[in-house]
Amino acid sequence: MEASRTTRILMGSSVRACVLDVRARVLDVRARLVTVHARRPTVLARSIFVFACTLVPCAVAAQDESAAAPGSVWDGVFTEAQAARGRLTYAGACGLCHGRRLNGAPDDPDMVSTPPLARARFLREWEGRSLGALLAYTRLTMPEDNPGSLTDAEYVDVIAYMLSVSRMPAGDGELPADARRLADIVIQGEQ
Amino acid sequence: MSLGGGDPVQVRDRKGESDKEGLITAEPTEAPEELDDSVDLLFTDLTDWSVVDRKAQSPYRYNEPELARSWAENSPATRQFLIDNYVRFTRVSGTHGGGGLSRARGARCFLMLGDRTDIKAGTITAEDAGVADPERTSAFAPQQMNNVSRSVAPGAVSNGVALARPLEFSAREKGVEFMLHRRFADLVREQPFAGRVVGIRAHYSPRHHPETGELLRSYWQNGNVDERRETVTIRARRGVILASGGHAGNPQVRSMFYPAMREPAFPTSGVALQGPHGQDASALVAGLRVGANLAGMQQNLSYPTTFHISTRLGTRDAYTTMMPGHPTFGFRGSAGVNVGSAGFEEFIAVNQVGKRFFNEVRLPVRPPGNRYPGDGASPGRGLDHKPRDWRNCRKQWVREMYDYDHGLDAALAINEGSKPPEYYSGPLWAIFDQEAVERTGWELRFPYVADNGYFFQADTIEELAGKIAAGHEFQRVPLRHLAETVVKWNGYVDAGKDPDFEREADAPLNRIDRPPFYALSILVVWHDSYGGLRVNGRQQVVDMQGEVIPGLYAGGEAVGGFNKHGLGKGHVHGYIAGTHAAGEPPA
Repeated sequence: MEASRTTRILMGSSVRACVLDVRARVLDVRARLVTVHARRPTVLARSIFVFACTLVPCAVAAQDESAAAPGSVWDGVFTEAQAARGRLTYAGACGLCHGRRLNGAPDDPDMVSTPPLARARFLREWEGRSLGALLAYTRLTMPEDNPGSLTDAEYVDVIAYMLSVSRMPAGDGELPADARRLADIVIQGEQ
Repeated sequence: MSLGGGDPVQVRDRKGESDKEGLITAEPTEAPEELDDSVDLLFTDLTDWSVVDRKAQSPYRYNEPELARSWAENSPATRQFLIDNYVRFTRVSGTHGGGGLSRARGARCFLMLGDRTDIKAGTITAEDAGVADPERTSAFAPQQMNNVSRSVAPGAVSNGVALARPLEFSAREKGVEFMLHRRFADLVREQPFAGRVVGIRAHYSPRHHPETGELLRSYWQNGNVDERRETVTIRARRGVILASGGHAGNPQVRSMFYPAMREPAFPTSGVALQGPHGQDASALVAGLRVGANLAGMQQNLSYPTTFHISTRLGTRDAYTTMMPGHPTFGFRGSAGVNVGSAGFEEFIAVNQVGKRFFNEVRLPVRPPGNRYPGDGASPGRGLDHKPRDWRNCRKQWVREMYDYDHGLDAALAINEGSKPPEYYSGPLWAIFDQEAVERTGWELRFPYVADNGYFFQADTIEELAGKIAAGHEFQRVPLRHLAETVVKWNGYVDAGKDPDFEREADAPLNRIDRPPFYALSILVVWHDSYGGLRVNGRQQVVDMQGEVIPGLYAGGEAVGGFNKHGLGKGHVHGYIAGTHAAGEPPA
């Protein structure tokens, strides 16, 4: 059951577009890995593992295009409870830099602005990419002072909170803490 | 607060230990080797000739070596002094601006949320911390405290409150007396330019609540001296320490660094809290009157928060998060809308005559400071940074990392509304429509905006221009070009091209055509001061002949020659000055 599910979510031309997108981000992430390496070798090792996990399914996806169309962030892909948990995690791990409103405006005025994590600008930046790519990128690079320091479940809870702030509807099931399964869910700016 | 040199918090984190109270349960953020610091390394960093910032200026090159050495040597002791006086520090993470590129030296001050506010126990209520209600602050904490649970433990909150209140509490507990409601006027020296400084004069300058008229009082009263004479002269038995801040709130003094910053429309930070005399250069002026020299007068130009365009719009007090609940909120009137840098793509920015002047998206961009772990501040990031290496300023590297957009300078430029002799550039406005509000979710309501001259709304652009001209205290000329600017902008949007500033390269272009139309003030905020009185390594003020002025000390932003941002600078200076002044023979 799990194998067939995995196969299905990794296929399809839309997902292949995602693969290309993730590959495009490889260069940027690799550049960041170099910088991460200087500070936290253990994080580097973990990051490479995470990154490899992301690339393997992408490579599989490139070989088979017969899967069903992927889902959308507008399909009720998280629960309200998950977003509520994510709000708490966000406050401790992300809010200092990305701001209470997730608009990239830190409350500490000494700090420079950061990328928004919700609403129009965020959706434009991530349009067409998958939540799997978002999870991979986030745990590779965030929190900036200690990348990879949250659990996968915490990262996914934060993503659920980000989607809720972007006014995407909650549903009955939680986002899974699994990059391969999240590769099936595409970020779209509009419903 | 960045200190370093092997200070007690660096040592604690390097060993992976908790604090003595056991409040910290989080693991250290930095690896042990990133905390392996020494006084010599800190001194090397603070005097590093080779480091160049992204404006191609040199933040450490012009620091006075004697000041830097003294600061480095006293940083560990100052950290311990603060710990001994109820200040708790989070795990070290990176370094604050001006604190060097070689090691992690920065830790925030924290308190733990609890059922009562108790400095000795290190707890604070959610109400006092300003975290119980996102639209309230408290009399205890002018700014809402931030969640730092990841670098302490669940329930930890942080900002300057966790530094200032414990120190104040400790001082009052030790019997220190405070004479408040006073404005420093001048120094008393035995002869105009000779002899010892023997005291100060200060004027009575109480502040009253802007709505109730009630006299504003300090949160704690024990130790306060109730003295209401118009002018008092206070004799100093051992010495006078000038700790009255810098010149960021004095446009006339600012203009010696940047003539366009003589524009009074642009304030310093925290104007509501500090009042009209905050950062008014009083120490610098008083020091000059008794013969003091100046230092570091060019260093204002090499720190990214010295003056910058704030992302908090629609308030004159555009640097803080203060909300209703603090007694001085009334001086502010509105908390402002913090749109972040990303928010600048949602509007057009116009000058005092209603003309655009720069690519809006690039207006608020501030280059980061040159501090650990670097992130582009030198060719080697983190532990790979090599201090005093010529490659740090090799011109190929500078070309590669240069990242300054000059939008601030365009904002301050002479325009059609600038009149001699001052040629003020005038206020700046963000102009947008209802569509932008719905795109962004900006909350254009109290306490974020108010009818205080920094936010306007109208059904037509012409009406909006009229309201701004009539309602803003520094709008000296009509915005006569605003309507045509909006028409032209909408044409650019339709064509998908902004020939004036090529904004299409950075962000989508959005029409401004759905009423109501809005205007939020955009402020240039002068936050820090880096030029000031010349002092030696004991924080003694030095005169034009290079001689110490006996009995006179200064520190923090009152002094120049030390390009270090933030609280670390002032606290170590205070520790040094206090230590030496206390050792002076009584007059």
